[in-house]
Amino acid sequence: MSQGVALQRPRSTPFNRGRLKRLLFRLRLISGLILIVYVAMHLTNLAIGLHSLHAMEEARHVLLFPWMSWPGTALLMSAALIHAILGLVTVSLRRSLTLSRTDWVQMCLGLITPPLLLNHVAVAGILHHIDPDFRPDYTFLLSVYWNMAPKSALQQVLVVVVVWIHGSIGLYNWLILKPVWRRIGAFVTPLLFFVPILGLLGFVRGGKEALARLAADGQWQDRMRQSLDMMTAAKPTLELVQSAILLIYGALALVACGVLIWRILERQRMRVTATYETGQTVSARPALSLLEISLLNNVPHANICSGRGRCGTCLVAVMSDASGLTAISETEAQTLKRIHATPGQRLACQARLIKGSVKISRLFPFHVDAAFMRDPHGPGETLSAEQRP
Amino acid sequence: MIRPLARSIGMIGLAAMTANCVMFANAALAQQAAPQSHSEGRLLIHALHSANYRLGQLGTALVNAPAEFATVWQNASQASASTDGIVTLTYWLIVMLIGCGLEWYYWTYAASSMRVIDETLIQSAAQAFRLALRRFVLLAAGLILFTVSISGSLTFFEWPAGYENAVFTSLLLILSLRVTWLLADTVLAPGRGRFRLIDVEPRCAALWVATVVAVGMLLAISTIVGPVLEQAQAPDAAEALHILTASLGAILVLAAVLRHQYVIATGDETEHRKPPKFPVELLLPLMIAAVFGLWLVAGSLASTLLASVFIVSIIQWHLRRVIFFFWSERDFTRSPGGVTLHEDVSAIASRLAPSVALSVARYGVCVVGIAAALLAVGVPISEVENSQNAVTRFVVHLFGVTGLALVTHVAWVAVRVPIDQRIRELGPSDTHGRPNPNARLMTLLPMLRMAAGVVFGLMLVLSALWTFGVDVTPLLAGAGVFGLALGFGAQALVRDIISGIFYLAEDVFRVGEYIESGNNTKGTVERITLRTVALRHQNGPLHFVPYGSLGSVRNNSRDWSIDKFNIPLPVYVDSETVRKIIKKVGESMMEDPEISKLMLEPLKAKLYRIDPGVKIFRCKFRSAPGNQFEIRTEAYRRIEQSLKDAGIPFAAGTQVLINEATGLPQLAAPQRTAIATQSAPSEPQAPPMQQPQAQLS
Ligand code: HEM
Ligand code: FES
Repeated sequence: MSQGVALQRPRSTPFNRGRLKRLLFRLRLISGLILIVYVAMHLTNLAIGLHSLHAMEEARHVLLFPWMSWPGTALLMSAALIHAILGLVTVSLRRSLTLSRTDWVQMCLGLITPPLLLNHVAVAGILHHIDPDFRPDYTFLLSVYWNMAPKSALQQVLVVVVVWIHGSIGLYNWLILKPVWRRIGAFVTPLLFFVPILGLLGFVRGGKEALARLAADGQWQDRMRQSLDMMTAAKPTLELVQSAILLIYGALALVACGVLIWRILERQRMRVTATYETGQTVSARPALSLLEISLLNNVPHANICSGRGRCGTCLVAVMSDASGLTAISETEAQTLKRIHATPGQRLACQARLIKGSVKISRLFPFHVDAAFMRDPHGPGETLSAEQRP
Repeated sequence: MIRPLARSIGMIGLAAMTANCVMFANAALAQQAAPQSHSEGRLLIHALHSANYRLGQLGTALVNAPAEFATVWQNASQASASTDGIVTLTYWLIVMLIGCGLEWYYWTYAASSMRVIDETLIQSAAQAFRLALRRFVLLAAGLILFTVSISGSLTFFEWPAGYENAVFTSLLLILSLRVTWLLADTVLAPGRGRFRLIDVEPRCAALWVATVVAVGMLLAISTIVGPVLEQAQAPDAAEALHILTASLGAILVLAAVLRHQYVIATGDETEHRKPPKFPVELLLPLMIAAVFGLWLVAGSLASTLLASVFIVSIIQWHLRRVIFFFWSERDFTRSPGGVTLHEDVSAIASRLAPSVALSVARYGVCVVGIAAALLAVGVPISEVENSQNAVTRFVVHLFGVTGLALVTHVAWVAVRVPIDQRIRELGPSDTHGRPNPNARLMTLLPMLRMAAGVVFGLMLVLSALWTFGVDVTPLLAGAGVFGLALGFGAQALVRDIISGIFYLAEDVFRVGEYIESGNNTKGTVERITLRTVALRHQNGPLHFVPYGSLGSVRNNSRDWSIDKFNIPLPVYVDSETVRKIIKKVGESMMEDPEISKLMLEPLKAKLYRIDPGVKIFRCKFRSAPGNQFEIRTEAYRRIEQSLKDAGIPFAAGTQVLINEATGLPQLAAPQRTAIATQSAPSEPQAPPMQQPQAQLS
């Protein structure tokens, strides 16, 4: 069945652009997943503060221990680095602004994460490398946030929500298409809400307890003062590091946005046209994917994964000469194979129209949902005979 | 007649609005002015003074505002960067997470239904409307879920004292933003021309949504944040906020109007646009400037009143298009150009539902406008009714009259539109053609319409007078007495009218029929009026016969007519042969399409009498009324031909009698024969030829 697909598959050269892209996206996903697991554990630890500050500190040794060890730290750091860079690459690789609403949210939240998060990473992560004696624990950090730097606390609270929403959109969009979702969906969805909410509540509860301890415990006050002195001493170096990181990130982000804008504006003059099975014909600039052409022209076109090439709902049958379309990439070939597509069918989100015109027929109704795509050949809705040319 | 009436209703509403506004504006000015000032001149001076005062106040507010803003900002940041501030933000974020999360969860189910709506191919305006509503309900359900879950989760938390206000303010702002957005988006449907509920220029739909949302947001900020600032001891900052939002709002609306006009002007380049009678383009910016200017000098009260007058007038101006848009057959494909109106507006206006909806909407707009004005002025609506103020009472009565006018108008439309429709279906009456079978309706309907109009008009006038407190009983009684006197005096007139109604009701004659009246006038009915019927005699003169003297009527144009005529043949012919020949003639006539369509029964003949020397055959046929004459002519022609072919001569007009006494032939006076050969009086007598050429060409 996939013989035709295989025939159209590009000859794999050692350095293939499609392959590279696929690898990058894979890496972005994996690094994102590593990050969200870390964040989830971190927030769970905070949530334990609902019981007591002491329990929070105890749990830290269990929950955050893997990340404290050097392989864990290395993994986390490289994941963060890779993910941030690949995130920016993703932004710059877009050809149009036909994002779904959640994608907009995810992209914007992702972009503002580093400036918001840097402060926290600096104090909790980097400082300890500058001054090895500095051992930040929850009680200390909570006291700092709630007593001495309330503005940073506001920022922290905000960044928890920002990062969590960003990550859970990514996690959800990835998981929803997996068959395993049917078993874990009912369990993961509430988790996506409970983790940040409980974490935030733990933060409040722990903060109040830390404040109480600060007021009552003289010994603790001394230790605090000591640590604060260390912080003040390390402050110039720390700020230097922070501003350097911010500068680099800002420059990269600007470049990414610039590339994005350039890619949107380029070749506005030239036109290619697509004709649908309804007879409607629309035009767009060249090199957009068929899905982007549909979305830009308000043509209803199913796209559960918003063009990531994972779901297969954007499947179209090419009814005319397909020479104006890009060849089938590896990502596309795999998804086509998974949904048992026949030769002559393409993923509209992957097939880009380089030149000329093409006649296509959308094969899935606009209203299909993820549940259907997880199991396209299960009971219920299936493609009718005339929908499969 | 609908247009003047509809317009007059709109005008009454407008008049009510204007009177209202003038009154309240005066009251407001008078309140500010010293109590002893009553003359107009004084009032003007006081208005100037108060404007001056207000401008001064605004200036002071603007000068003091930055400092106050700075203090407020400092206080706010101090308050937020505190333990309580952190707690508040955390709880606020949790509340948002819950609200947004539940709504998101709802959408994981509802998105599919939404997409079904978007992909449906629309066939009719009603379907488009239904789908637009379903879309709205889906979106609104999400918003309601959001609102409910936020309000619910708000109560879970113990908010730090003094911070609830900020939380409520922010949530109110978010909610008002979402509500205005939802409404504007549903009505204007940018990018979804098929679901648009208002006939707005498609290229400007998004622009107007943005403007409405932005202005709504500014209004919300002004009304929600303003009091908060005042509470925070920053009255000048609050005033400055009002100035800022009002100016920004005015600028935004102005920009949108100008942009809209520009888009329309550039769009119509192809078709030749005739210059408007009035520079409407200038009018809208002027209105905006006027409202803003009035706000500057006289405050929000007067400007709200002016704005509501303007808005009501603009809506009234466009209301016909807006309402009829629902009934128009449009282009429901997903064409990028959006929706174009295909149907002629006058065709919609002739339907009952749109017309009634239009008049109800006109009234509704006026009522909402007045209510908004009353609210703006701060008059408790419940007290207006019992007010002692003459002007207020007048306005209340005007309200009532407008209501009456609405009811009357709806009743009138309900009577008029079906009548008009019926008349249009019956088609134009052609008095010189064949009698229209619906001619009676054509005469009755306009009369009925006029009668209804008169009755409704009278009722409206009387009840309006009654509403204003004028006692109409003597008027009615007087009218009764007058009617009685008139009845006696104009007995003949009344008789004519009454009997006319019965003639028409009993369908005695219709326009186009040939009748003979009891007093020997005859002719084709040309016109039927309230009192007389006009009969065109075949020789040309037009008789005007009052119904009263019409008497018994003989209608020659009903259903069918029978024509009989005699043919004298020599006595020796074989009757059976003749009968068959004529029967054949009858059959051949039935085969001729021109003739057969007028024939109801074919021509037949039978031996009628045998006189000395002659056999008289009587021929008979039945035809549609009014055509006997031509058919008889044709029958004669054909019979003569057939008889000639069969070698049968007609009976000679003279005959030779052998006088047995003298044995000499003598020419007999052909008396009897003459009588016999004369055709039997055809019954009824043939009316004048009505379509002389058409039949026998
Ligand atoms: C350092 C700043 C970050 C940036 C600039 C960033 C940017 C991005 C971008 C642009 C995407 C791709 C969205 C798309 O496919 O359109 C993404 C995906 C994702 N991000 Fe981040 N992100 C950042 C931090 C994080 C953090 C801290 C987490 C962990 C909670 C995270 C978790 C994820 C996940 C799970 C995905 C989905 C992966 C995928 O769809 O392939 N990100 N991020
Ligand atoms: S949109 Fe999901 S595969 Fe194309």
